[in-house]
Amino acid sequence: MKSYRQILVLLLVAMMLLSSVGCTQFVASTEEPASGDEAVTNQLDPADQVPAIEFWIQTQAADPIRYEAGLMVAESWKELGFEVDAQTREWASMSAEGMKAHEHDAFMVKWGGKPERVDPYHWLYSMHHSSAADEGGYNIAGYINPVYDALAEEFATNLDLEARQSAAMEMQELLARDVPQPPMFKLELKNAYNQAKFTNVTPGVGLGVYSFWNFMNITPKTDDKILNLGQVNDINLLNPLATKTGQDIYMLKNIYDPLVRLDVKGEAVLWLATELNEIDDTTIEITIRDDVKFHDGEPLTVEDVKFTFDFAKEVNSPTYKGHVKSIESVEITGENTVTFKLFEPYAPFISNTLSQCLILPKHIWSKAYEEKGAEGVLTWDNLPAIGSGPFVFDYWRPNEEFALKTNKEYFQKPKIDAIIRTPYAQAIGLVQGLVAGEVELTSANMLPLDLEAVAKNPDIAIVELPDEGSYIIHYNMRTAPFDDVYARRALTMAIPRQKIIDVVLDGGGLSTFSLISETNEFWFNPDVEQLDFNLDAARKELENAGYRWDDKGRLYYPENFQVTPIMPE
Amino acid sequence: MKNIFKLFKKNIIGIIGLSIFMFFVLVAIFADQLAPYDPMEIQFFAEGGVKRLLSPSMGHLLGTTYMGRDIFSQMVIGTRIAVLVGVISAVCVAFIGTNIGLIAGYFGGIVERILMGIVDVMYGIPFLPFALILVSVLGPGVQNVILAIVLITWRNSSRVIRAQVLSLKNRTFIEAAKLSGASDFRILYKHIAPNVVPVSLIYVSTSMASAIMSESSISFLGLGDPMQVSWGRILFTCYQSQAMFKAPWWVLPPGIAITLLVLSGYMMGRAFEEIANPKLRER
Amino acid sequence: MRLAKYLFKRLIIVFITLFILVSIVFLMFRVIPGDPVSMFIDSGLDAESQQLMMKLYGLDKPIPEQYIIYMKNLFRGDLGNSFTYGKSVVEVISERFLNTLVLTLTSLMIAFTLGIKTGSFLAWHRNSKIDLVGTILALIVRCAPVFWTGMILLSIFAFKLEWLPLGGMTSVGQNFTGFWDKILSLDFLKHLILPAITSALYSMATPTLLMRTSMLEVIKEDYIELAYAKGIPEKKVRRRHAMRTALLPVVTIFAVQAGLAIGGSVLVETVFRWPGMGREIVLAVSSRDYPMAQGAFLFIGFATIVFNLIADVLYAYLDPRVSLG
Repeated sequence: MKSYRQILVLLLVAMMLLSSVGCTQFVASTEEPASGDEAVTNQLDPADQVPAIEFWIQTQAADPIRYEAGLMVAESWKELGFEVDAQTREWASMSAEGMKAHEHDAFMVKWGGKPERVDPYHWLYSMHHSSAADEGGYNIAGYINPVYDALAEEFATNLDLEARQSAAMEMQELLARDVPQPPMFKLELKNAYNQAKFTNVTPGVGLGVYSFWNFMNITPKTDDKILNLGQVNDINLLNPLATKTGQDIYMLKNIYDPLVRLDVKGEAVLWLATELNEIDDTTIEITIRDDVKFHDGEPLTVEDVKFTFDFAKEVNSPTYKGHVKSIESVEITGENTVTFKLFEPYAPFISNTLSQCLILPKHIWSKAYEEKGAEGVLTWDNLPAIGSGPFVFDYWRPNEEFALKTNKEYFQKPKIDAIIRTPYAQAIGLVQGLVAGEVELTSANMLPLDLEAVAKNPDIAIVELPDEGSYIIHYNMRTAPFDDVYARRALTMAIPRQKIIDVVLDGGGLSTFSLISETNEFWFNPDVEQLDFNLDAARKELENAGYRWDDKGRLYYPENFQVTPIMPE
Repeated sequence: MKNIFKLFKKNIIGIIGLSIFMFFVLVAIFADQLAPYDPMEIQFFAEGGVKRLLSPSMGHLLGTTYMGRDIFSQMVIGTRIAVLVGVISAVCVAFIGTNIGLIAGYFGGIVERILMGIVDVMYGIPFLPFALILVSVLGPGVQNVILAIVLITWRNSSRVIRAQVLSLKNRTFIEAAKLSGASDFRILYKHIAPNVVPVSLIYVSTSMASAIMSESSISFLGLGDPMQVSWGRILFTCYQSQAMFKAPWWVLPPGIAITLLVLSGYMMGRAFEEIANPKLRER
Repeated sequence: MRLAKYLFKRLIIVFITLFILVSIVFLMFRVIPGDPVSMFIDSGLDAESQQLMMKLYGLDKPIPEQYIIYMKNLFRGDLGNSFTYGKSVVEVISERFLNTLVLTLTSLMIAFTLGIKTGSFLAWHRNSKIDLVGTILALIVRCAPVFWTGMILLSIFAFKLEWLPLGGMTSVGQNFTGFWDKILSLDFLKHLILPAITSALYSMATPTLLMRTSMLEVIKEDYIELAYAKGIPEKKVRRRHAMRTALLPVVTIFAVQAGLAIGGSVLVETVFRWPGMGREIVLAVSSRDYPMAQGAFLFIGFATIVFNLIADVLYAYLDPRVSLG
């Protein structure tokens, strides 16, 4: 009896000791605001203290880069005197609460530089126009600036390129000054291929060697004309109306054709269309090729073109929705011509709408619609996927292999006979596969350790290409302290860009100050203000705005503080 | 009732287990003093480069990680989470499991049916997938990992405790207590409970072992507390960084530590088993 | 008759358990932060498109209604469509489940064959040094985290020696005509060895220790003494008489272990990139693919319960002392 109590007591004591040890650690790690000792601080009103920042960073499992970079940013902000509560979030909840609901303080995201973002409509209009600041809109920071809005509208609706360009330059200047959601850095992407077996590798903007142009141009050096493509993840869904991931969409672009394609630099080139005729601001007449057939032998006609756009609207395709919503109607106006009527002038119509909407075979999809209904069509796996493109769907064994073969009757023939795409599930397996010669091409970014590993095989060549997207911190101008432009500027100057690049990316990155990549020469403004890492300048910025620090280094608002949301002229 | 403490002292396996356990407890308590560096701090060379993947040396006893963090310090600080999770979950599991077993066994009838029904259902829940979802719901954090462990593992002890109670219920001393007008509560906790303590202690020790294993598994899947260093997370980071083939000094220590601490739990459990079941002692 | 009644009773419990499991998981997913469509906001799925997606997935309806629809479909054996793959959950899961089953059963076979041999060997040499060392070794292996053992085996046999592949289930470019063709191929076997051995090591301790204990009990029985007295050679006694009797409890534990191993398969599958159920559940949870995760959970839960049931029935059937209650 007695002894059992002894053991129990022992255990309890041990437990309490441990939990107290644990608790002190928890407390230490979150650094509670010391509200109990106002008396000690030098007469600063505790109500004036700058509120703590809840900073969401990606989980380590999802993206080690964002996780490590996030920790470094949080540390640096603390040094300025801000209170930072760094929390990791899964992407699923971060996107729902931040990207969509805009309930964040600040979080870090990597925005991809897709070809359709070369026309910077997404970066400059969608992400910063005040109309997109409501829930679900892309103006995640809640940037509201009437001057900017006017420029953005000019940029979006004026069909004159020069006018658009000059608006874009000015908009970039405003953004660099007001920093609603500063870009920080971007990767220097490295794709690998086997140069003993293939040549003429043609990476495209934003996609690297996963680009359509690479699959069209890559040329075998040997008799083995099958291209073994290794990727980390598998294809998920080949339904053009319902697919969501880039890996699927860009693979579908090999099977299906759009009216216009974006070339390696992201500029629109005619594809199924042979002629674009802008009749007025809202009417575009398009002539299409008459020699294209779907893979089942049926010819591709204007009927299919009209059908695609009408059908996408009718079944409410989530993938097409954003692209087709500017279209009022599509009419067949000739044997090979269709006329698009838009609700209002939309400058990126050709580069962003026509290039993204893949033309579907009417005979297949109208039949599917009869059988399955609107919802059924969107949940359909669409196998085998029948398009009109240069590659024909061959077979797909999920998690093992996905194969395309060349369309022999196509108007422009690829140099290879087939693509076999293998998902490796993990980068390390992929790297080993490359070294062993199992795969000859991958668009997975090679990290420093991967490069060391592939160096073992002298046949592996590396293509370097700049990333067109960047890592961004989305501030939230709807909440303090991000509502004040001086606080935002100071916080931006406390982002240790170069240190992150050196430590986390092992040197494989570049600091960025505009959302538009400097390789995108037409739109990029090189002369914007660069709020690079400089803690002294950051302190100065705060000091000049009247911010104060107590003797523990904690940051307080100026006396009689008035929020300045954007820089006064 | 035999003297558990004395018996335990005679049990070599138990003593070894306890010593290993106490060693880790001491490391956990004095972790701050023992760790030469902040486990999350990135170490730089004097000339500025990151100390990536250094093999063990005097400066870094167990070498460094790819991000230049000191592995020895991570190991030492990581002990805290392991011991904390182990002990708290074990005590909670044994407490809940024992009480449910006691109540079900003693009262019988509808109470027993409901409680044992719940236990049956719990047995159908696969632990790791459940923990995965639960941690996703509640967010990563040590307390949630403990909660997940406790929610599932209490089932193990309650069945056995109930069986024990059933065999005790009709013994004469219980009958005597009943006749003398003792309340149910008193009989349950004064007369029956002390007799199931050895069995309960088996579950304290083995639950501790399985809780430590579970915590490291959850951390290895990347769902542990992201702001705390734990052994499972060291292994996760190592696996994820693709450096695991190059840096044995990074892979080996956390695994060995987990093995030892888990082992200590099972060894103590075995000792209590021999105490609880005299038949085993003769072998 | 009694067995039939017992089975019937147990099946009802199985049914209720599954029902509760599904309900809990269903609810848990509705309170999990995040949703399956806003994740794609950065790849160009704008607010309107997201709403369309939600509607398509049936997530725009109130939760009780979603629950009723899900349950109704479940009774018809329809687990819905995966948000990620756009295919029916049953189709995707049954393939992954088969992969998991192949791995788990292979590893358990190895574990039990070796474990039974080792256990009886240790018992035969009871109280010797071999017995002590063996018992301790078995315990240690039991305590090593399975993902860690896997990492070490990978480093040695796949990376250093390059004898075996680094992971996955088959090599690139293999073309199999069917399930059996794949399972019986050399390539598949090569991929299977390391993960199977890793989890076999982990589950070996239970049959080993159990067999040892069980053998110790049997050895004391009269008929073994009798066999000796008859002058039958030791090896034969051990194999013919002692082992056979001692096997009973070990065999029953097989089913319990199988249930546990399937639940724990996620770790080995993660380390070796085995395209099984466990990995699928991790992916489905992180991408908020509710039907997929619910389905996978249901399958694993079902397997666990069925194996538990088999264990109980076997135990009751083999050991008449246990009352069927």
